[in-house]
Amino acid sequence: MGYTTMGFAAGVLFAVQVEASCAPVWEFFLAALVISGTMSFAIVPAIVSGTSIWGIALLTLGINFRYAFYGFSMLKKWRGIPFVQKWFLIHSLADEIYALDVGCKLKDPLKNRFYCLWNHGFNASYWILGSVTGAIAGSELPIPSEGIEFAMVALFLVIFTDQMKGLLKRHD
Amino acid sequence: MTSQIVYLVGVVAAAWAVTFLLRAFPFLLFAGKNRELPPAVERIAGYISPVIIAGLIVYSYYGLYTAKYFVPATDWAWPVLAGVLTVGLQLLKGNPLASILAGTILYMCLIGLTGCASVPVETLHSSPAKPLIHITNSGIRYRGRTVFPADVHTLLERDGVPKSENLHVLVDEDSLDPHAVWVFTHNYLNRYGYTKVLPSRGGRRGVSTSEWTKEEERLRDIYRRSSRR
Repeated sequence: MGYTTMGFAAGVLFAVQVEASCAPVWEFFLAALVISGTMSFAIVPAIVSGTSIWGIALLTLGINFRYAFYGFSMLKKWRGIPFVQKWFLIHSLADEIYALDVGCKLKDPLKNRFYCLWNHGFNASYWILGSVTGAIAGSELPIPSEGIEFAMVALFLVIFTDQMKGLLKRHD
Repeated sequence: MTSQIVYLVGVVAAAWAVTFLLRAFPFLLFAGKNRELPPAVERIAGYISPVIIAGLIVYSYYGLYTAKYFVPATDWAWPVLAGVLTVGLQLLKGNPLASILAGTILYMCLIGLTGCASVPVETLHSSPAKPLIHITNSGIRYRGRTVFPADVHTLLERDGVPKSENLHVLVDEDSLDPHAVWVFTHNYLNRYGYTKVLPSRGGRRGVSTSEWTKEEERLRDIYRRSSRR
């Protein structure tokens, strides 16, 4: 649910700001390959200002750096999962999906594996669905768009607020 | 067209490659081994992400304040206000989606209320019935919003108002300090190529076209003479 709505907002933002033909197609690839909410928002102003490919890579590195640490807690849990399935899980290891994976209490490796696969599969497709619908809506409907990029700022603010909460809790 | 496709393919590929490598990093590093991350590294890693996000917040606020439709004179408080609402809601309720939606909707409303409403560029033309510029005794208004005189030409350019077109200016009678009106026209419109400035039928009681033209002629004359000297 959350993923669809977030994707929708990102899709609208993309379609409204990036002047490309077939915005939904681009948004589909962006959503399916880079399953990352923050990135989908942050990449839009970068495309609009014509940032170089290296600049985009650097931006991605900065924004998605946290993903490099998600895998560590899944190393043991995902031991023994077949190759293709495992790389699909890695490919779609985004914030909320990861949170659900970590929260999964299933001890049986097989059950856990299917839980993770369902979780990743469904949430990733919700995300893609939301993004593409948003992009279609954004390019077809005359949505008043001035100020819509605040969604990205709000996303960062929310992430930052939660991180600060987490850090303060840890120090207590 | 083709170059744009190449560019977008590159953008998506770069974002995907970097993201995927980051996600795969632990699995590649510890492939086949059974190890955990040293606690010290984990602690430092906990601080990296907030720092990056804080940087992004600063950067995106800079983006908001330099957006095309943003007029600092009237809008300076809105990003802060919407930000406070977002963070406040997140602290109170902890529902990310609600916080983001509320903040964004508030921001869009505030911008929309004071803002130059988004009208498709091709429909935006100056006409005597709908003048784009309105000179009141409290200042210059562009499309219904108070702006700095110096911003007017930027806004006209942004909205794609052709320089070859007549530009109608509505002047309230009680603000008709002819000299001020003329200085505005000369310094902020003519100088930037908007030469065909026409007075529109007046605001409260109205200024007749002939009256305005006469005044302008007179002032132009004075100016011409003074600059010749």
